[in-house]
Amino acid sequence: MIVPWLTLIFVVPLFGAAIVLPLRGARNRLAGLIISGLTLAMALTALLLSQSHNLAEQVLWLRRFGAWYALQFDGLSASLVIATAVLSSAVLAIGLELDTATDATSAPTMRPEVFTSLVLLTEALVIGAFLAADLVLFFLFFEVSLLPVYLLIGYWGGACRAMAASRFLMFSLASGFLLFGGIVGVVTTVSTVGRSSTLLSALANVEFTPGMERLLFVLFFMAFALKGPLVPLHSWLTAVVKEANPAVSALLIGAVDALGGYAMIRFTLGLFPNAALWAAPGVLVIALISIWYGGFAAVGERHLVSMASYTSISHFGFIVFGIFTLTPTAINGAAMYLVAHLLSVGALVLVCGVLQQSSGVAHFGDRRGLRQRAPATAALFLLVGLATLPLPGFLGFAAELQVLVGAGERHPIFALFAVIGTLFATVYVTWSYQRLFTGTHKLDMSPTDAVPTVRDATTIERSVIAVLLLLLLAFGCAPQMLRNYIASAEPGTTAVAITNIAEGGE
Amino acid sequence: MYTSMLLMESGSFTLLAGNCWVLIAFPLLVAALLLLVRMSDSWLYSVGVGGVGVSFGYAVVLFIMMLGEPEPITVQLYTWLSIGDAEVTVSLLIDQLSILFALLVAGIGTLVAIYSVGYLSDEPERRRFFGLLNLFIAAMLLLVLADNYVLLFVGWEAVGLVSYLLIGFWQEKEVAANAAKKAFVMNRVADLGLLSAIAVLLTQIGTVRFTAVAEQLGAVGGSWAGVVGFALLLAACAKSAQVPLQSWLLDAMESPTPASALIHSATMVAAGGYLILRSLPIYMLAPTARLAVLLIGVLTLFGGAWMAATGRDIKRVLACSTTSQLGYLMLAAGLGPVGAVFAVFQLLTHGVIKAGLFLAVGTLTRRVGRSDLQGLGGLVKVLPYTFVAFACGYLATIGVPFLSGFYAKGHIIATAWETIPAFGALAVVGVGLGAFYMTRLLLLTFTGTARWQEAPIGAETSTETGAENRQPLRGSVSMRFSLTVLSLLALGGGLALNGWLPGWLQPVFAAEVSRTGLLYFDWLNYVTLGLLFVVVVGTVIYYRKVTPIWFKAASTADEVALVRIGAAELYADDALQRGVVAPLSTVSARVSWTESEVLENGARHLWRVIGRTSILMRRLQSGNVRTYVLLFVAGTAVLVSAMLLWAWV
Repeated sequence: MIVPWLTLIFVVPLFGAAIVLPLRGARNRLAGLIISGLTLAMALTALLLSQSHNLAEQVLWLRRFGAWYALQFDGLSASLVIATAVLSSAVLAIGLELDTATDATSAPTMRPEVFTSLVLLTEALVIGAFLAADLVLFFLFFEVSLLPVYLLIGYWGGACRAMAASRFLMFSLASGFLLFGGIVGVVTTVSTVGRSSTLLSALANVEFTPGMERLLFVLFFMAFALKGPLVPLHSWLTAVVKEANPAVSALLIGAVDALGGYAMIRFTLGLFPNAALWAAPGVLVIALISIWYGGFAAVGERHLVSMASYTSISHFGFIVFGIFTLTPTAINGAAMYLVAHLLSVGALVLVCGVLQQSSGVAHFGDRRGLRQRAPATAALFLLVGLATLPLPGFLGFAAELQVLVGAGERHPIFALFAVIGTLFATVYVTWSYQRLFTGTHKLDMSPTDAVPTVRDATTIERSVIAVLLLLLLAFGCAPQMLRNYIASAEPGTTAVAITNIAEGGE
Repeated sequence: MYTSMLLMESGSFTLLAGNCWVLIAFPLLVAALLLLVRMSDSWLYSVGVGGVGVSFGYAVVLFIMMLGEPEPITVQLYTWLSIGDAEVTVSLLIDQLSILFALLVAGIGTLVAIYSVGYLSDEPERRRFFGLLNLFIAAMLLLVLADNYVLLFVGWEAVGLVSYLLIGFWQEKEVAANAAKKAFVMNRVADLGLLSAIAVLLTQIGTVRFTAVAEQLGAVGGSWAGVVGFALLLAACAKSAQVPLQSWLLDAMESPTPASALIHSATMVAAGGYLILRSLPIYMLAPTARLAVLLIGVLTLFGGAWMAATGRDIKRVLACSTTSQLGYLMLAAGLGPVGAVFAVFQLLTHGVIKAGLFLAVGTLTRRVGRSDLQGLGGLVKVLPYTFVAFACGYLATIGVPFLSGFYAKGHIIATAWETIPAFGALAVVGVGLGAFYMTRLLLLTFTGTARWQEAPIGAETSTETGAENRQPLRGSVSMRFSLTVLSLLALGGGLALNGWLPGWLQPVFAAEVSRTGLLYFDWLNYVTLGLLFVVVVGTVIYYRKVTPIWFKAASTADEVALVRIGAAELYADDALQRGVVAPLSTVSARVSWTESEVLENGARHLWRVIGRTSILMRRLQSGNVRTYVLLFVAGTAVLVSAMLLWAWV
C-alpha cells in the first residue's frame, strides 16, 4: 500500500485542530502537544523514508490551468517543515500562559481551546506551503494560512489587538494579491506557450520574455518581501507583535515569515533566474538597508517583543542578501540561516513572552535587576540572544559563514557591509540583558500600580526554551549533515536556478 | 567517532594525543555540571578545581611525552562544514607552540581555581564562578589547540563570552554590567577582522588550516596576505588590549580578581599575540602588515606605561601594565621568526608573573576592602607575606637579572636592535618606564602611611565592592599555595626557559637563535640595566624626598597635562564615545523616531482617512473580529470557487 506520507504530515495537525476542540483544559493542551508531536514524528519518518523512497505526490487537480496537487520533500522544505513542527510544539506547550492581557478589557474573548486549534491549523497550513510543489497549491496554503494567524492575533493579545489584526490582514492580503497577480501572469504565459502546468518542475524550464519575467519577478518579490518583511514594508510586523500574544508572535515571526524567505529561494529565484540576476544589485542594496535599519531600530526600540521583531527584519535582510548574491554557497547558507532564524528568533520571542508574563515587563526600563528574582529566565534570555547574534557554536554561525564566503566570492564589499550590520545584534542583546537583568531589583520603577510578583520561568518554560537552544547548539557544532541535506535539494529549484544563470546569464 | 592522522608509532602517546579532545571536553562537562546542578561546598570545590586540574595533568603528561618526540600531531575529529569547495574540520593541533600555551592556560587555571577556593569562600554564587572558570579553560584550550582559523574563532568568541560573564559577575553593580557589555561589544566588533580573514582565506585559497594557509596564500599573491594580516591584527588588537582598543581591559577589572588574574592578564589577553604568532607565515608574506604589528606593539608599550604611571587604582594599574607588556609581545612578534620565539618567552613569563601579581592584589584588596591607591599604603606591616609575593612579581617584571622578565625582555630588546635599531632603543626606554610605574605602585601600596582605614575620597572607591564590601578576609592556605607557586615560577621561570625554549620552538618558527646563554652581558644589556637601576633608585629617592605630584592620586595632579592624559586613560573612552557610540546612538534614535512617529502615526492617519471615506470601512474599524472573519472567508471562498469554476467549465 502506498502511504501518502507527505499529505499525512499536514493532515495530522489539520484534523488535530478539529479533534482538540471539544477537549477542555489540561487535556486540550496535552492533546494539542500530542498532535504536534505526532506531526513532528510524521515529518521525521518521512525524512527517514525519503532516504530510500521517492515520497513526492502528484495528482492532477485543476485541468484547466494544469494545477497539480503535488508535494515534494527535499532538503530545503524538509528542514523547514521539521523546524516548524518543533516551534509549533513549543508554542503549544507554553503559549496560552503568555497571554499579555492585563485587565478585563483586553481579556481574551475566545475559549482557550480554540487557541490550540488555531495554532495547529497554522502549523498545518505553513507545513503545507513548505511541501507544495505546485504554484497554485502553494498559493492556497500561503493565502489560507493568514486566517488562523489573523484570528490568533485578534483574539489573544493586548487592548489594541483588533487594530493590529486588521493591519496584519491588510498587509497579508496585499501580499496575497501581488502573488495572485504574479501567478495569473505565470499561468497565462504558460498557457500561451502551450505547456499548461503549474508544477514547479515544469515551470522551471519555461522561457519567459525578458520583460514579462522581470514584471513577474517584481510581483513575486514584493509579495514575499511583504511577508518577510523587508524594509520599508515592515511596519505591520512591529505593530502586530506589540499587541499579539508573544507565542503567536513567535509563530508569526518564526514560521510564517520563514515562508517568505523559503518562497524567495524556491519561487522568485527558481522561476525567474534571469530576472533575479537583473535585479540582484538593487535587491542586495535593499537587503543591506534592511539589515542595518533593523539593527538600528532594534537598538532604539523600547518594547521587548518589538525589538525581537526588528531582529527578525535584520535577519530576513541577511537571508535575502545571501539569496541574491546568487552563489550556491551563499544560497545554501541563506537556507540554513532560515532554519536557524526560525528556531532562534522563535525562542527569543518566547523568552521575551515568558519574561513579560512572569514580571510584567513589556518595555525596557520598566524594571531592572530581574536576575535576582529570575536567574533561569536571565540565563535563557542571554543564551537565546547569543544564538541570534549568532555566536559561533550556534547554528546561525555556520549559516552566516556560508553566506559571507559565498557573498565574498562575488561582492566582497557588500559582504563586509552585511556582516558589519549583523554586529548591531551584539549591542542590542547585551544592552537588553543589561537593562532587564542587571542592577538591583527595584519595584518602584514599574509604571503600573498593580505590580505582579516576579517569578522565574517554570519548568515547562525552561525545558521548551532549552530544547530549542540545544537544537541550535547541536546543529551549530555539527552542521555538516544539515548542510549536505539542504544542498541535496534536487531536483530543488536552487540548483536549477544556478545552472540557468550560469548558462544563460553570464 | 574520530579518525586520527597520527604521524608516529609509540602506542601510549598515540592514544593520549589522539584523545586530546578530552582536554577540552572534560572542563566543559564539569562547567555544565557546576552551572546546572546544585551541590555541597566540598563537592563544589573538588569538582571545580578537579575539572581544570585533570586538564592540566593531561597536558603535562602530553608535554613530557612530547619532549622526546618533536613531530607535531593533528587529530582530526570530524568535518564541521563544507563551504563551497573548502572543508572546515574540527581538528586539533598539538605542536610545540600549542602545548606550551595549553600548559600555561591549564596550569595557571588550576592555581587560580585553588586560590579561588579561599578567595570566594564567602561568595554566595561561587558555584557559578567555578562553572565559568571551567568553561573558560575549555574555551581557551579550544582556541590554542585548534588547527584552523574557524575552530580558533569558535574558541576566540567563547573566551570572549566567558570574559563577558565574569566581568559582569557581580551584575548588581552598574559599573560591572557596563564594563562587561563594553568588553563584549568592543571585542565582537574587532573580531570582524578575524571573521573577514577567514572569509578571505576560504574564498581565495579554500583552506583555513594553519599549516596550509601560508604556502597557498603565497601562491595567490602578496596583496591578499596583507589584507588577511591587517584583518587579523584588528582582532588581535582588541583581544590583547592594544592601543587604541585598550579601554575595555581597564574596565574589565570589575571582575573578581582571580578572573582578572587568569583571563585578563595571563591567558585570554595573550591570545591576540598567539594569533599573530600562529599567523607568522602570513605576516612574513606581508611586510606592511608586519610593520603595523611592530608599530602597534611600540605604541602600546608606551601607551600602557603612560597609563600605568598615572593610574589611581591598583588593579587598573596592573591592567595598564598588562597592556604595556603585551606591547612587548606584539613588538617581538612583528620582528620575524627570532622575535617570535622571544614573544612566546614573553607570553609565558608575563602570564606567570602577572597572575601572581594579581593574586597578591586579590589577597590585599580582600584584606583592606579597597583597591584605590589613595587608600592603600603601609601594607608591608599588615600583609608581609603578600608583600613578598608581590615583590617577587615586581622584581621579575622590571627585569632584574636572572629573573623571568630579564631574559624575555633582554632578548626582545636585542632582537629589535639587530632588526631595526630605533625599535630596540624604544624597547630599552620601555624598560625604564616599566621600572618607574612598578616601583611607584609598590611604594604607594606597601610603604608610607597606612591610609586604608580613612574614608574614600569622592568617587575613587574600590572597584570591587561586590566582594570587598563583605568582611575582611585573611589569606587562607589555598590562597597562599597558589601565590607561592606563582612567585617561585616568576623568579625562576626565565632561567629554566632561557636555554631550552629556542631549541624547543625550532620546528615551529624555524628561527636561528644565537643567544641562549645564561649570561650574555653585552653593551645593550648594560645600558638597560643601568637605566633600570637609575630609574628605580631615582623613583625611591624622589618619593622619599619630595612627595611629588606623580604620587598624588588627588585631582591636583591633573594640572599637569601628562598626568591628566594618562589618568584619563589616553581619552580612548571619550574618543570611542564621541566618535562611534554617540553618532550611532543618534542614528538609532532617528530610526526609532521614524518608526514611531512617521510610520506608526502615518499608518494610523491613513486608517482614519480610509475609515471616514467608507461606511463599510468604518464597520471594519469597529474591531469586530467576526466581521473580518466573515469578510475574509467570503473573499477566499469567492476566489477559490471562481478558480474552480474556471478550471472545470
